[in-house]
Amino acid sequence: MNRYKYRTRSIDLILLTIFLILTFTSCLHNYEPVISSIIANPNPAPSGSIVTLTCKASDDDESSMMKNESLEYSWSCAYGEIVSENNDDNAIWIAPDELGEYSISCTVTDQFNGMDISTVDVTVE
Amino acid sequence: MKNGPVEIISLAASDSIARSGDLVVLVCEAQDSDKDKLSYEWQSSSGDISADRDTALWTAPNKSGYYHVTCKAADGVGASDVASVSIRVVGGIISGTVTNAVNGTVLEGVSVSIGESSVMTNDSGEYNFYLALQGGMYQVAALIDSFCPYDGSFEIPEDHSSSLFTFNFSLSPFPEPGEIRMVLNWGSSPNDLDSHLKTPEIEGQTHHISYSSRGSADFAPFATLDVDDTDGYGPETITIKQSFSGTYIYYIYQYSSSGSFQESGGSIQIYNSPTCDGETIQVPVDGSGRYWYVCDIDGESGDITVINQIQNSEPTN
Repeated sequence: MNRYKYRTRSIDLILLTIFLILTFTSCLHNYEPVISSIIANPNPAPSGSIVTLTCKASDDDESSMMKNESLEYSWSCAYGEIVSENNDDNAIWIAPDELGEYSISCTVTDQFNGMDISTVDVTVE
Repeated sequence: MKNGPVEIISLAASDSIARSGDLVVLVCEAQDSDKDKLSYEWQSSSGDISADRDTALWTAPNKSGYYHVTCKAADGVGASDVASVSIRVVGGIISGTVTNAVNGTVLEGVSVSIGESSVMTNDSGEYNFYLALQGGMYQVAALIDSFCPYDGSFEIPEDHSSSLFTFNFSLSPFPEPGEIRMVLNWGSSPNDLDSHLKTPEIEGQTHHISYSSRGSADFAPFATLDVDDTDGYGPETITIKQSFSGTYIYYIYQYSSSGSFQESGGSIQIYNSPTCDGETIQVPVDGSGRYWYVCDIDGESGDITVINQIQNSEPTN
């Protein structure tokens, strides 16, 4: 009887150790941020108009201790200049004279080396 | 154990300007600080992408614009890096070389306008317009100091299938007092068009100026063939230095046996002194033959009578 009991404890211990390792690892595993949408307004935009951009992103570290980490945004445009006041999820861009399609990308970075990028095309007409 | 960062070292595109439909090759070079195996995710909001790990092939979309292609490299355990590259896409290119009509040398710094856009020629005399190429007439204007303003046009055929169209032309320096200058430009075919000028009687005899008898500025016929072009585009230029009373006949002969005037896109600019006033004459679309009878010029008044017809025989007085 005693001998049997002892064995059970040993298995429990092993299981517990495995459980702890798994939990610990999962807590340390960073989930990259995900950009769900990037919106330009207005789009299409008349040349010379001010286009407002909004980037929506989330960080899916729901079950881990890394959740609610703060995200940083940065913007880049294939042509012209894009201005974002505090590197936040909003930016403005002036539609140029030349008509055509213009890509604008939003990059989001979490605190643990995770990044995502997404692009919207603004039609200048 | 902390997971180390991923770093994209470079994202390079084979072309920074592409025409619609062109394939652009992109290579994303990335490294992981703790040697994790990286996966690559390629995206573009327009244009098809096919990717094989760190290399992608992007098809430039139909609409002109400035596009981003992005690459994301991820180690699968939470670290990633992203990069974007900008590629300009143009529907088509109208390009050409601007030359000096009296010596054929290239002209740098010429302001060339098509519609509302303007560009400057580079040190090879070349200009480029990035536009969607559509069939139809295009008006061209060009300006540079010491040369007559240029006002011309060309036509892109409706069935033009290439995304490149070449329009070369020549500018005339301001004519000296008493000069009249005729400048011929055309397209790539026929290879050889020749300008001919028949003069009225000068010091007792008529003269015929062409590549075989180029005339003289200092004695009869006081007119010269300035440039003879034999490989398309021109210029092929004749200048009357000093005119005499009577009628000058100006015509073009198609020396090459292949090609035709109709497909040549030929255009003639005539400049009178001192104000560059004159005529722009486009090759007619009708008629057949190897002679393009362009105009008569009255030696006394400088008046130009435009004939502009294609015929089988040499024009005569």
